Amino acid sequence: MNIKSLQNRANIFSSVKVLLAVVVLWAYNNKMLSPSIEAVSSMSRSFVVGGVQQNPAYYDPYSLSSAIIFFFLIFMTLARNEIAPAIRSKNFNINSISLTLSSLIISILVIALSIFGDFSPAKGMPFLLIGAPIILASLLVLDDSEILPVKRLSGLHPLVDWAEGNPGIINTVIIFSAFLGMAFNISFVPPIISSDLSSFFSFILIIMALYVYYQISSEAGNPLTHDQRSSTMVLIIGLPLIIYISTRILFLLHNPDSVTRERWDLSWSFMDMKNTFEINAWPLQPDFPEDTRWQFLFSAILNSARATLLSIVLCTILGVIIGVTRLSSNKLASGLATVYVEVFRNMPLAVLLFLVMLQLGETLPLFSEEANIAGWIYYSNQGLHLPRPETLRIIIALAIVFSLWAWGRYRDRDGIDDSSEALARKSLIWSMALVACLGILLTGDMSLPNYVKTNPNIPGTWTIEEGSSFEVTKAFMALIIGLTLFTASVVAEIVRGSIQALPRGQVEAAVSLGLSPYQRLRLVILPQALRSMIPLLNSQYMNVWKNSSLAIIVAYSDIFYVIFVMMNNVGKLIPLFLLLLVIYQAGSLLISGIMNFYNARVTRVKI
Amino acid sequence: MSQDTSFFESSMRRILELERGVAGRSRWDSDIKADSSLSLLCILISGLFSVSVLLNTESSIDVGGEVTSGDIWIYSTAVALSWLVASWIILISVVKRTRMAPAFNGRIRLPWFGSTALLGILSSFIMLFLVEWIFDILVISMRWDIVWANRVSVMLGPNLTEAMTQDYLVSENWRIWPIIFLVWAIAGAAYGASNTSVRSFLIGFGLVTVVVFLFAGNPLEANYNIDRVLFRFSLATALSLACFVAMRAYSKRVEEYKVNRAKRNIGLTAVATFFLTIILLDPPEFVKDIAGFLAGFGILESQLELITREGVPPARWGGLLINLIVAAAGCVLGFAIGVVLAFSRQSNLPILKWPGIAVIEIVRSGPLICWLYFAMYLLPDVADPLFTNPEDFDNIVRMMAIFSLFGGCYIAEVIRGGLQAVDSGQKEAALALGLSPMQIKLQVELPNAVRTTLPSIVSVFIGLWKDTTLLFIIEIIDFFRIAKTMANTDLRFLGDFLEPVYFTALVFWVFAFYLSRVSMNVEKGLGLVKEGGGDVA
Amino acid sequence: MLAMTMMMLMTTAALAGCAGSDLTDEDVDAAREEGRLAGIAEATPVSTLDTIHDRGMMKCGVKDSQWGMGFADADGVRSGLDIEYCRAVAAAIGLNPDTQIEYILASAGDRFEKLASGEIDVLIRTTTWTTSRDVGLNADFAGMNFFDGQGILIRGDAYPQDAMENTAHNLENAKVCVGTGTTTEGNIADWNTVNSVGMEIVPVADAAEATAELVSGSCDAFTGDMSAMVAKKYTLEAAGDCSDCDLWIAPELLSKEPLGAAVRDMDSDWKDVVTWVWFGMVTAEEMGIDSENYMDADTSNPAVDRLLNQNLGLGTDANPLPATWMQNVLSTSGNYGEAWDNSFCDGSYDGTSGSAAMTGCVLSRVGTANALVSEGGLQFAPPMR
Repeated sequence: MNIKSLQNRANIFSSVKVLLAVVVLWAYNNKMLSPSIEAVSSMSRSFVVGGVQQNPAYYDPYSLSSAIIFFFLIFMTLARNEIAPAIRSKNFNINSISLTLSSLIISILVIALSIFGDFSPAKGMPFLLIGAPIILASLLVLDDSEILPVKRLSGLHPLVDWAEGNPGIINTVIIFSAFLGMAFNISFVPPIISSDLSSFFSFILIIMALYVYYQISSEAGNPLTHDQRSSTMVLIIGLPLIIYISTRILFLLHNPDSVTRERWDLSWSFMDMKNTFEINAWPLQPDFPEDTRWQFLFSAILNSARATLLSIVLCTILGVIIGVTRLSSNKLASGLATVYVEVFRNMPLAVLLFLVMLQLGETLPLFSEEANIAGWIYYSNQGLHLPRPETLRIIIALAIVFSLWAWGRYRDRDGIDDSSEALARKSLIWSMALVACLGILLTGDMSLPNYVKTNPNIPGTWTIEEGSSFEVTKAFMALIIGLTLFTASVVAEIVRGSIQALPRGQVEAAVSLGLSPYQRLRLVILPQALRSMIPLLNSQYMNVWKNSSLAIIVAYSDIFYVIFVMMNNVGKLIPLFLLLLVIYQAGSLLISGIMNFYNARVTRVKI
Repeated sequence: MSQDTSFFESSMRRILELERGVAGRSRWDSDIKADSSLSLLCILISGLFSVSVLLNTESSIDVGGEVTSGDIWIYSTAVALSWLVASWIILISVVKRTRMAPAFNGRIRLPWFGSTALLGILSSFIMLFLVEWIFDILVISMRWDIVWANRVSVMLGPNLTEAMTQDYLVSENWRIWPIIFLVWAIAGAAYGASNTSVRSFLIGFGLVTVVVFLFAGNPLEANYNIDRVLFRFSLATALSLACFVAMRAYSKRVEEYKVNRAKRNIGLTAVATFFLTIILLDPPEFVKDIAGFLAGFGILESQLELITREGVPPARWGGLLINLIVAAAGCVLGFAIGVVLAFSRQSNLPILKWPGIAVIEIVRSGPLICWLYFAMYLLPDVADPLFTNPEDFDNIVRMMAIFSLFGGCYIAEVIRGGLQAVDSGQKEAALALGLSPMQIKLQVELPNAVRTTLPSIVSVFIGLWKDTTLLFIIEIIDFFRIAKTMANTDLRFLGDFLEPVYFTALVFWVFAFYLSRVSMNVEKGLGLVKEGGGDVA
Repeated sequence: MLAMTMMMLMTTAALAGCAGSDLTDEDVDAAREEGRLAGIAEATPVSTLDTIHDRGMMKCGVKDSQWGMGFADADGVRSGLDIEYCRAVAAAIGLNPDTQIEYILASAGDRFEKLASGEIDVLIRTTTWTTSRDVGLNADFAGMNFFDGQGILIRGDAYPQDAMENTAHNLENAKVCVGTGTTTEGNIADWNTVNSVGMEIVPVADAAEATAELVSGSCDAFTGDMSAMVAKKYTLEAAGDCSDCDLWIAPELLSKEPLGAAVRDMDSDWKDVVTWVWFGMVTAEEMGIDSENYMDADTSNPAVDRLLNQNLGLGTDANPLPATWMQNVLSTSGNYGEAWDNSFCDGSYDGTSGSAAMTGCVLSRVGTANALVSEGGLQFAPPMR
């Protein structure tokens, strides 16, 4: 230690920034640690009166200590990052994961001590349980430092030489025993420390942080050491936050306030009880009041899914039409398309949905006015009634379409025949098939909506006979219209961008090669345009799925609506919230998976 | 004589160009004389037809109720004009028998739009329907009085309106005016320092000023002092123009690096305005103490004395103010959080990487409504002990926090893409120069990444702005909620449900549209525009 | 370096420990007792009254869209019986009702959540007292301040009153709007089943949306508390909206809806204050004391003296109610009759003449459960002594 290095050290620490950082760090540490200490105190106070535990926040020492310490161990392992490289490397040396092992050993020791040592709830337990993570962090800090006294004693004894070669173990042992000594004799520790534990811990943390900062800024070191020191720094700064979150959540789970405890109660048994409100769902209408909440939730998922699917199909079609129109040479048409895109892209979806619902209510005629289209479709501001074909015939029509498609694929197995005669023949066959399907659907036992005037004097009793029509509610119409209009504008932009990004030369080359328009589309334009479109469309479709949660604005029974009402009826917020997150994540993953599969197919050919 | 002909010829040529644009080539393309005489014929016929439509519409709607004769004239004129265009297009297509024109500049020939003319006819019908519907809403079937009557309530919220109109409370609107002046000044200065042409700035600014004056100055159903408000707005306009002129003169005279520094300072002032708004509305204790101390010296005594009065807590804010503040917080704080998360996700340290990935993926998996509920009911449970006074963790503060987190996660994804695209040569050069890793990140990688992804970042901002409309679901009294329930609580105009909602849509659209225009201009300015493609991320 | 510091600290600690202890058994017991008290304190909540005084503001959960009970007009001015009650409570505990009340909107969906989480101190928002709410939602009801029932508001152009024989039993195939999360939802469903009416229940998010649906014709009827139905009919007809709707209210009361103020469970001091403010207002009207004459009231009458000049033990140890709390209440909201008059009638009631003397009433007290007991109603106050 010469003057030069002292000066160096002083220079590093004298800058104002470091001072400011110390002040902020002190305040932050105190703010996070004092509630944690109080929380640990209340969670370890047990007092049993008449055989009943009176402190609702009580945890037995094993659960309390293991929860806190193992939660911290996760971050410790991440910071140390020994496991992953050790698994990956060829030669496995026990030394390479020594720190992780030692921290594991220390944790188990501390947990055992917390069970068997009788620590007082006010000072002992917090000191033990919050001091232990600090000790573990200090292991990281001391890992590559030296112990000066031992150095001076080199050569005295082989044990001392071994100790000098492994400073880490010696550091660990000394620190840990000192810590245990303080923990066991906490009431004898001077009041400066024991009365304000959070200040003491903050002080220790700041010293550790300053030391690591000094290490980082004074020597550049090789990247591995530098990374280790940065990780240690991050861990030290993050330690109060980690402790706070773990103690707070543990406290919330056993909160003295019964309502908070209800909210954080992680059990889903209430979902097996009967539901207390009714919803309007198709295709699976749950039976109120017999069905359980799980069944209602499942119907709501189907509701959301069908709204999302229909919106995705419609918005893609509309978006493609508008995107292509925007590139047209007809100025009026392209102008209108531009206006559409600009208007709907900047419109908030919530306002749009509400507007559509109100406007539908105002514009559509009253039900008692019997507005219909040729007696087949009845429309009013209470919903749309469509004719209902027989189920068997729907199946037959779908089967015809499917078999035609399969036969077409089979015929084209050696290469698609796109001469103009083949195209003409194909379109003829397809149109004949569609006419046939339509005919099948519309004949036979198709039921038309039957407008019944139950009581001619009371217009309100007039209704469509039950089961005679396929009803589309106003809420569903509003949701579909709003979602489609909004998303189509973004899809139109995507389509236009993809097509415009095609190099001119491609299309000119295709023309000069003599390809027919259909061949141009299939072989040149679509493959290239789709490559850039599909990832963007993927994120838009996921947005449609997440935006369908706005159905609460139009009172359509989707997932969010059902969970929202359940949250208000039963105070179990966290379980329902977790359900909501899981369901939406699952839906996003599904959509993403399908689009990625399609993307892989489209990008099979390298361009 | 020849000049007349050439004028006639050039105008005919322009008309023919126009016709080709909307209806395609005509059969008589080669013979200009015949072509132009047919055009004149078409124009004449459609003109006569539209005049008849005008008179017909005007007589068929009765004056009565809220509809004045002026309204009817406006409506009829609009309908007549649109019929003029529609009939002109139809006539051209039919009379000139336009043939199939190659669509889409020859790139694609799609079978169902075989002819430009067909497309033209279809679009003219759509245009007809739209014009009729819009003007019907504007002047005939809707009463807009409810919007005029509730202007202040919708901007500031019911509590501040109550303070303004009722005697037992002191009006707190003086807190808003300094912010308005500042915003106008910053806008003028920003445009002055940029390279927008004077003419386009004046046109845009003039339009905004006219709209503001019309909106604030309409004496219909006003419950505030119009003259004073108009006077203050004219002061703000003058201030803005002065800043524009000053900045424009400054940037013409000095070197570019100084101009860039000025731009950066303007940006910092804008961010500071956001914090200033919050401080002015609800001054914290130390600000009040400082103001009281300074007022004791006699400088600006009356103004400083105002600051020492009790502030307006966030629970009493309402209206457009809340939307703007929450969106601004989401953008400003969200950008900071996004940068931190992006760097975390990209770093090599697992202790930063895995928590970063976890946070981003969890927050992005849920819809925003879900997170708003979380912030409202569950976040206070977790975060209450951190506040010395749990009451401070107000609804609005919770919303600002969750919007920042949500926006931050989306911005993190965008910036991460930009970071990956930074040329590694840059990083290596910085390393060779001896910059520390932190310096490399902040001064080399981040500016490059932001520059490349700026349009996407702005579109996240636009998304955040539009998402502030969801605040009504948790019973926060923002613009949309007031507009929704206005029709139910304003006893003078009970039942006018649609008008306030159209107004809301218009206001939100205007802000979002302006932001998207700014993003396009920035994109062009930074030279990021690709071969005609638009960024749609 | 760090190691050295740690070593020094540990040595100090160890040495301090070795210096011998002067801790005795009494100290240990005292520590145990302190711990026990701390444990008990964790289970006992702080009274809301103390919290309100610390904060300096009272947070009242209210409605803003029902004329007559809880309403806020375009200028932000609030009116209604529930608002008067709220102001009376604030005045009773010594706050300024104009500036020290924070009105927080509580929707039918989240009102109990807001109460339980502490966001509001008292919920005075046309909330019905039911068993499940008392038991399961951590709420306690502070008496009944309005005796209501559930009614149905019907569009006459869809279901004409004479054709329906003035009864709601013929509401076949009617689309009836009801707010989610309310007792009305369950009641109408039950009534529909029991009487085999054949209605179709349409849930809506709130009253504003329900009004929109009713006016546009998407719903044929709207059900809710009778006071809300009367207010809705009055305001729609006064505004001239929906003139061809021909609205009428069915005479049937589908259920009992005793509305009351709600506070949190295990908050007895605060609950007593809220309850007795209402009983004080009723007692004042029974005694003929109103906002004009309470200054000159005859305090030689011991009952009047107790009402106007004693706090009767209400309040907490830290914040007892001022002795003249009832005078504050009377000067703010008046007695029960005056509060009713300001909410439902034209405001010209003199305070003492009885229900029949109120003029211009959209909802009258005469012959209903809301009249005083002396007039045959149910508004009864226990003795204040």
